[in-house]
Amino acid sequence: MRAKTLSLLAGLLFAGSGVAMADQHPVPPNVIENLPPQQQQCRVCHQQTTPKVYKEWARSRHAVANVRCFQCHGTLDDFHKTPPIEKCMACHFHEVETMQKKKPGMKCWDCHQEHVFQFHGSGVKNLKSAKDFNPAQY
Amino acid sequence: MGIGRRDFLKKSAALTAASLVGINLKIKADGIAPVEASAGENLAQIPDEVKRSPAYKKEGDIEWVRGVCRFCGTGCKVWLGLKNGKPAIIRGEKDSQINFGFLCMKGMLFYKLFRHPDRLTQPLYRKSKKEPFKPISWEKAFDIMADEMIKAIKKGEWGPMGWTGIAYYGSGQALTEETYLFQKLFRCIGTNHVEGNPRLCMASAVGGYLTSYGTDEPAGGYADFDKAQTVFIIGSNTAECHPILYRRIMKNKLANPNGYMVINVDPRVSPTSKIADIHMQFKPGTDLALLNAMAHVIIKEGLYDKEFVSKYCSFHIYTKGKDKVPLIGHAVSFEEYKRFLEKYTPEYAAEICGGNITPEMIRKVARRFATTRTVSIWTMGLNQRTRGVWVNNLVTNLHLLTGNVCKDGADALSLTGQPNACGGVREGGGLCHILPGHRVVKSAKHRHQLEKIWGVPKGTIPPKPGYHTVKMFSAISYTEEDKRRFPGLKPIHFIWIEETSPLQSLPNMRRFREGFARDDVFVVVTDIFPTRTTEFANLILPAAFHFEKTGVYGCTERRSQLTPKAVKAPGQAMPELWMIVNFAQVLAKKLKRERDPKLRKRASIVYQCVAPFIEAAKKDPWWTLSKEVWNEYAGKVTKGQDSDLSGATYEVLLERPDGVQWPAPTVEIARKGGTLRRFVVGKDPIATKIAQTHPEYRDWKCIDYGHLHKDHKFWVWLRPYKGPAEPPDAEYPFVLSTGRVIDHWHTASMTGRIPELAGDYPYAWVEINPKDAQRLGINPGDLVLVETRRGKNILPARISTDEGPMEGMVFVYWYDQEKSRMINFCTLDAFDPGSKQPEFKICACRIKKYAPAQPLKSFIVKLEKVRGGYLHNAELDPNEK
Repeated sequence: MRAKTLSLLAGLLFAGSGVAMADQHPVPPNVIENLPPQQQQCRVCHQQTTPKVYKEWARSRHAVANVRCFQCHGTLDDFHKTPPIEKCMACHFHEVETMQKKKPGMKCWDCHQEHVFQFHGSGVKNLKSAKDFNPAQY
Repeated sequence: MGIGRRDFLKKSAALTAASLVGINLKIKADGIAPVEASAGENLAQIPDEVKRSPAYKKEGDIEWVRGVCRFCGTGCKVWLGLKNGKPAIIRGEKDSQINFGFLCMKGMLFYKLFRHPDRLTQPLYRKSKKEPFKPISWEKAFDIMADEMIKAIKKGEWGPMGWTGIAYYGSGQALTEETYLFQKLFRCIGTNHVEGNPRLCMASAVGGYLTSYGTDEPAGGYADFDKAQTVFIIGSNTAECHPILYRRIMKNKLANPNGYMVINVDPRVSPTSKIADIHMQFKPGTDLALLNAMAHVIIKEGLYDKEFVSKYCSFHIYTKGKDKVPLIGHAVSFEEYKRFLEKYTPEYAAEICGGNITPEMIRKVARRFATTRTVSIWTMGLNQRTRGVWVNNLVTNLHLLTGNVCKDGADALSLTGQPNACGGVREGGGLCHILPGHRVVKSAKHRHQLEKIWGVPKGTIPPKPGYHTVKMFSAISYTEEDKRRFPGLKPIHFIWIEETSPLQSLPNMRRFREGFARDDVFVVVTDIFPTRTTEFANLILPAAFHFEKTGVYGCTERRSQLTPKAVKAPGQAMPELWMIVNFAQVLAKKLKRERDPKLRKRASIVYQCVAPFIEAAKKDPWWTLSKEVWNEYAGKVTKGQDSDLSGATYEVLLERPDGVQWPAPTVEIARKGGTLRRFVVGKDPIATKIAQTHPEYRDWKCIDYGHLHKDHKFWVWLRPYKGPAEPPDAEYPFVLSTGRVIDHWHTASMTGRIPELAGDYPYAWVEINPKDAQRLGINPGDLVLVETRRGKNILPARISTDEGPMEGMVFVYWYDQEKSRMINFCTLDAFDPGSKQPEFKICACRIKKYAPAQPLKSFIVKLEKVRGGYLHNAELDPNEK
């Protein structure tokens, strides 16, 4: 128990070198590095460990466009369970900027459900998932 | 009291001398300047002209500078953000008509490379490749290079291509100004041994356009994705290799799921297939039969555009022995073309193609292609083939037959892999047989045009092309087999390699690596990181990175965009343009002292080559020098050519959110973005002018003014089916194919150093079809021995039901720097006889389980400090040597 607390504390201290306070990924990086091949990519593990989240992402526009976990959540050494809003700004700068001006303090996923990120105003009322136009692949 | 006059003068003198040679006065004890910036250090170095332009913004504590992404041929416009003087973030430019503000994972992360600890910061030299490298000054480096180059010239001879003993190998990632000045330098020195890695990437597409259009590069652009009704993707994993273009296709598909059809044609199911309505899987190398069969259906069912074909197309065939020039062949009638297509029935093609191809599928796709506005896109699947030019022609044929070219929403769009293969190498003259501004070495008229612009004597540029890439590197390895393969091969003893890593990217590379390890070839490598090529260098020159120097990239759709300097380069890293100007002056001085009059004559020519830029190189090699070189290239060399960029001055390029598409003969046209649609009267200034001044073309809507097409028509080529050079057989029953993943760029010298990307793909895999894996008893993750007639590799197996190759085929990613996983030991260097591009995509291999799944270590080449200097970890580790 004490060892666990100490290691958690140590992890937090170590992780605190990031822009925002980084989180500790439940499975430490050095353990993942030593797994056999094909188990080091986020999605391979998370298909089993967080199947709901995985499915939400896998059928989103992000997944089809190859926006992957680490682009928002960071690496295992610099991991954020809830990504800092800066990570969205690489592609969605204008939208984030507008949101920060009009609704300061809000985050994208306060309205757009995280991982799915359906949206309005593009002419698509209900987001069609990849499955809908190519059921054979799924 | 303050500094006295004498001290002030002394200090100023020291600073001036230092800035001339680029020495950082804060040098550590061992001579290597620190890479990492200190806490308060301001790395922002933005030219005034940029600060006054729309390409600069200051928002709070972030300074933003606008440029182009460092990676693929899409050409996304990016803003680099410097926070507190340090590169901290990259975002997209929302007003760019290319990426609309979006970036892929590589584009958003390359700010992490600027002050990476592995950056090369000082020239490193060793006389023998068995010794460690020692840091030397730039002055000494140029001195040694000039001596070695003259030595190599003398060791070689003077042939119709010029000096046989020296060569330059550049890159589709070098800036246009760099490639232009490099090829100018080498041709002024007196050799056409000028090549670049686009030979391995785009040469077949160049050959395809030259034969189909009479001039290189596509007729339309990315805007056609939006108005298209069908997107025909063949030989391209767009989702991973041109992610932002794929995003655009995805968006169109999602907005109109029933009306917008996506067809993916690939022996492998890739992430691109996710939005495909039809996936056509055929045996590798059989696509020529497939495409001819589609043409057969289109003709037989009368679905071709009768007006377009009769008015704007003619038919050609090349018969060896009958025609002098493969690019021209001889004309035949439409009737003969129809007779030629008779045997390519859908049934015939389906039989050859295997996979999931059925005659009904071929008919369905052909009908869709012909009756809708179609855009085709392709990359290496079609180019890296021994029949690359032919298969490029066959796709373009379909567009010409169906009138799917020269109008909105329709085009035969070859996607360029590298960011500047078009702008720098194809347009800038960076291959052994071409000259800048879409000219060719063989034409005396073209050579004299350039010699006049350059102010050098007639006859400076040698009259015959140099060696193409595989031949050039064979002239270095110079084995018995090389000599047999290329009769009359003359050895090369000096090579300057810029911004590419051929000793990882060349096919069948074992003998090249062995050849480069010898001490009778002097190797100069210019790069930002150590690579599997710098490990064979005698001289490593540290280059400034993207945004640390200024220059233009020209992407897939003929669009040139400027990336200005914004960041201070680390240590003594300098721009390549500065290296060329200074080296040329040193070389000229030495050539003048030579006894041989042929060499002495070259002294003044070499000096004249860089004379217009000497002042700029002294005063400001980061911005002004690039601008002067661009002014010469765009303003003088491309002026009046079909790749005219004379209107695209730096001022205009800074203004525009997405650059300029040529032809852009005036500033007015350039300011509006240039020419989206080539050949169309009213849209293309060159076509418009021809229609106005030539009465016989007055009522033509499109004029193919390609210089090779004297009839001003598009050419449909009769190309028979021919399979790959090394199909599978009893001994090697699998097809080995290679390719990329989205995370890693080429040889991973950059992306392998970005933790997010390296973590997702720490090492390369071999993709195996689940049925084959089951049959051979291979489980996911198991180590597999992949063997060809040329070499072997050991790679972990990736077995997936979602993606992967068809049965009988394996697919390997080629970015891994670890020796046992470098797949180019296995690939084949057979090349297309027209384009000389090697067939990376198809060769025969066999696979078997080697060991059970186990943890693997990723490997990246680094320099280590040893006694006496520096050596690569690859040279020290017996497993990697």
